[in-house]
Amino acid sequence: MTSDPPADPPGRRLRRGGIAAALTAALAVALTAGLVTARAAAAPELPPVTAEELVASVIEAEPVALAATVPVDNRLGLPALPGAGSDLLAEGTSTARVWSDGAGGGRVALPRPDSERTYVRGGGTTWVYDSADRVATRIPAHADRPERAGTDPQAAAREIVAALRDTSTVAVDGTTEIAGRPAYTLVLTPQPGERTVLREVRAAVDAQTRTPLELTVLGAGTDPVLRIGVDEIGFGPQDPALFTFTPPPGAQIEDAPPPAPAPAPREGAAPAVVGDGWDTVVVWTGPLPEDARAPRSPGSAPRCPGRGAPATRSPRTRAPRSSPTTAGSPPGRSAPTSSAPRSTGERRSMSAVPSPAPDGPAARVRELRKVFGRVTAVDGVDLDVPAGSVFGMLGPNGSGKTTLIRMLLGLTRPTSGTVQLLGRPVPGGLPAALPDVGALVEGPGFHPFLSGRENLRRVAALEPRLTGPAIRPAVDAALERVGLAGAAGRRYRGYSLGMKQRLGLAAALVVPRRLVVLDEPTNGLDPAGTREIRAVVADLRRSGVTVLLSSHLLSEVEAVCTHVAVLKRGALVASGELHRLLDAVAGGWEIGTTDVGGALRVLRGAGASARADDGGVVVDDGPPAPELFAALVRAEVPVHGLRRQRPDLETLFTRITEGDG
Amino acid sequence: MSGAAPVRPVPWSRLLGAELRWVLRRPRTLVGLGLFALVPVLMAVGIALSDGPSRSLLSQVTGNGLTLPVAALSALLTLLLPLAVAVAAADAIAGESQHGTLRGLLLAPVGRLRLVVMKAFGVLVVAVLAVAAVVVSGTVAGWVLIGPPVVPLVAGDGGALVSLSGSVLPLSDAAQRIGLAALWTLGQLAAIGAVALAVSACTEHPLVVLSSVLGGLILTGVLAAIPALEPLRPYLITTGWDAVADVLRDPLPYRGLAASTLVALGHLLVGAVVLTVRMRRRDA
Repeated sequence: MTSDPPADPPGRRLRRGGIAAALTAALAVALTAGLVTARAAAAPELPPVTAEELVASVIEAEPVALAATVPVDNRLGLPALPGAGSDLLAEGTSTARVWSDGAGGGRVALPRPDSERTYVRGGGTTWVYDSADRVATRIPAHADRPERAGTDPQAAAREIVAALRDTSTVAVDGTTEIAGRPAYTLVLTPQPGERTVLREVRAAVDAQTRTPLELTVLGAGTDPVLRIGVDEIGFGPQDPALFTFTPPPGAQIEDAPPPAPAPAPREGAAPAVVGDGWDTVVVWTGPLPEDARAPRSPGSAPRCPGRGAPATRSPRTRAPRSSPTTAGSPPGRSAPTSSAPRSTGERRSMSAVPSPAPDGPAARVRELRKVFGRVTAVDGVDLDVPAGSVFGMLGPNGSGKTTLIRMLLGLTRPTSGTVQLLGRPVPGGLPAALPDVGALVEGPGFHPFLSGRENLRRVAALEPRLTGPAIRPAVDAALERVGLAGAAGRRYRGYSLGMKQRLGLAAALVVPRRLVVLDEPTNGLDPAGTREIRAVVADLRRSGVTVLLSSHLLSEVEAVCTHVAVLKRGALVASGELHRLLDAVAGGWEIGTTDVGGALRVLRGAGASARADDGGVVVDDGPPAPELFAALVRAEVPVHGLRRQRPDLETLFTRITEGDG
Repeated sequence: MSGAAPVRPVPWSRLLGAELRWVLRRPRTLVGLGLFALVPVLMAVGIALSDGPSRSLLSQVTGNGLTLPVAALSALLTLLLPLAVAVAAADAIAGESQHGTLRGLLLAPVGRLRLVVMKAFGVLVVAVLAVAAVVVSGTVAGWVLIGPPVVPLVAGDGGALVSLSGSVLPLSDAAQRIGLAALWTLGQLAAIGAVALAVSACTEHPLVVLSSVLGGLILTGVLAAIPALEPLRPYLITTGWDAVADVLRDPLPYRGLAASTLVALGHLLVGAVVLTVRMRRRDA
């Protein structure tokens, strides 16, 4: 969806050994061609096979012609076709129809809300046709990787299995039946020590053709993050007419140039958010930064060019539109080159968030689960709250934020998993850890018959860090800090919601803390009160205090947080530095130009998905930005300004938390 | 940074002091204590008035003011004193949980076992104060409004209390008897308090605690009235409650007092165990 920002070091777009890259492409092709999930029936009798034989036979199997109906269940809301652009998010449940001729030709019909998108590959050319805008885009074969030109399920399976084989333990887990065909169940589990958030990949392999019929990807939670199956499948020759595309009458035909060759991998790259497919967030093969334990970013990050994915038009936009700015620079060719480096500098400065303190994260949970009866409130969460960060916890109501915080503070026992608070185990280390933790959880709790000051005195009297004589001044200082000094003598009963909230904050801050946990701190506060809370949080951060903040107010989190974690139905679906996650859903580039038609032609020709926008062009996705700008300049399209659309947390949040029902 | 320094728990004196403050600042505690002080006065007034305008001969003979605290304790123990303890126990854990303040205590942190001790202390303080209010008020009211027995024919001057057995006890003996009644009552209330705290630890609705205690007391009465359940009777806490009248007998029969105290001790232990186990695991 976005073009590549110039500031991205090449390594961010690459990965070690190219495994993830292979997976991206493989899965794209896999989906396109019809890898599969379906509910297993009774296990049929099949001759025994060893895992190694099965793997080898999958990798070496001859391509087979087939036709299939392919249901896709994508729980992460990530692009099912990496690089295909924001309009191709097959999140939730959808069913595609797939044909393959076994020799590089293929056809996919992908239903969209109000249209159908058709991909046809044959003879080295790919056509993309959308019935909504009646635009047919013709894309030549990939220049340096011609083998990618086909939509071949065997090739896709071969790439997945081959990519995972070296780092996984392979096993055969019995037999099953998919869409009436007997199949072996192949299980690939990452070997211990592999840095991946992937837990298991299961593939059902057709016993006869050795074609994978089903692919299930498990992450940290109990439900698969991705499941692709077949409802029905038939092997055998297909009508050749399926693999040629004839533009319907009245269709507008556009030509796209071949995608640029992929840049060379860089040694030692440690990408935080890379790629634009779910591989970047489910399969993590590079070194994992501490602050991105589960970097399941939603949406698409800057994509690697040249994966053979078709460039598409993007009638839908996810990033908020804003009118392109003319950057004040002289119009013309110098604009792109002068804009790009400046943007680089901005990004660098954004990355300069506080380095994790040497004494480890302020809080750490591993495989944390909490089950209430039949409801799983928190489901296998791994999370680090880096010391010194302002950590925002986001999620819809009922997503497990408060339960997670309560387990962190020892108020609720986890069903399973471990918790560390300030480096000490919970609950055993709580007496040592809690004196340095201030918390406002589930709203302020005070006695209505006592005044604000008396309530706070009671809290302060129980603080181990306060000596007797220090209690009174500490209480006064805390009241002053939250602006309650004037109302301290009144009974709590008569406080407004905002005053109650402030008193709760005062209790959390009555002694200097190392970690402050604030659960919905701005509830009931007016805008001025919200600003004051922000000021308090900023103040805490300046003095090196870690702040863990849960909120449903995205603007609040965006304004104060350095890191975020997003919970959805008890599972962590994204976590990491805020700006990196935002980059993953970054808006496209806004290009101010007087020649909209020319710019669109050049950009689409370069493989970008671009659309006309108020006063210019918006590039949602495509090759790295510098290439696009260079192409524009070469084509002598006048460029008046370039601006990165500002990504916002709401886009991110919506992407991650909505979708499947 | 302060975080590096080792933490020493809050001293007990501060912990219990905070709880004491909290209990005594609560309006319902103060109102309850006032009522307990008032009840013996009302009883004394009633007795004095029924004795007629100029204190009849009968009242002079049987006017026996120092029996009043014992009688008041006995009357209040049937319902009102357990109610007061139950209210304190309900507020102590379930009430704190309902207000969200139990979280604050655990996060302070007050260790869970320390919290049990702190809360038991608070309930015990209420029980002590309630019994003290009844005894002090009953003694003063009995002495002032009803007066000492006028029994010169029987015992000469100096008799303070006529026992139920008819003997006359001197003031020192009378004071000991009243003190014994107070201590015994306190033991019974401690048992009720422990059970109420245990219930309180299992709920976050104070009303559940109150209804459990009152319902429990009524239930024991019902159970005691069923002949088929005769073997159960010695173990019911209310069974021994008429033993408090024994302090007015001469010589003092200890058997009933001891038996009922043992039953109370049993309740206390069960309550304390449930309370401790529950508080160690409780969500706040």
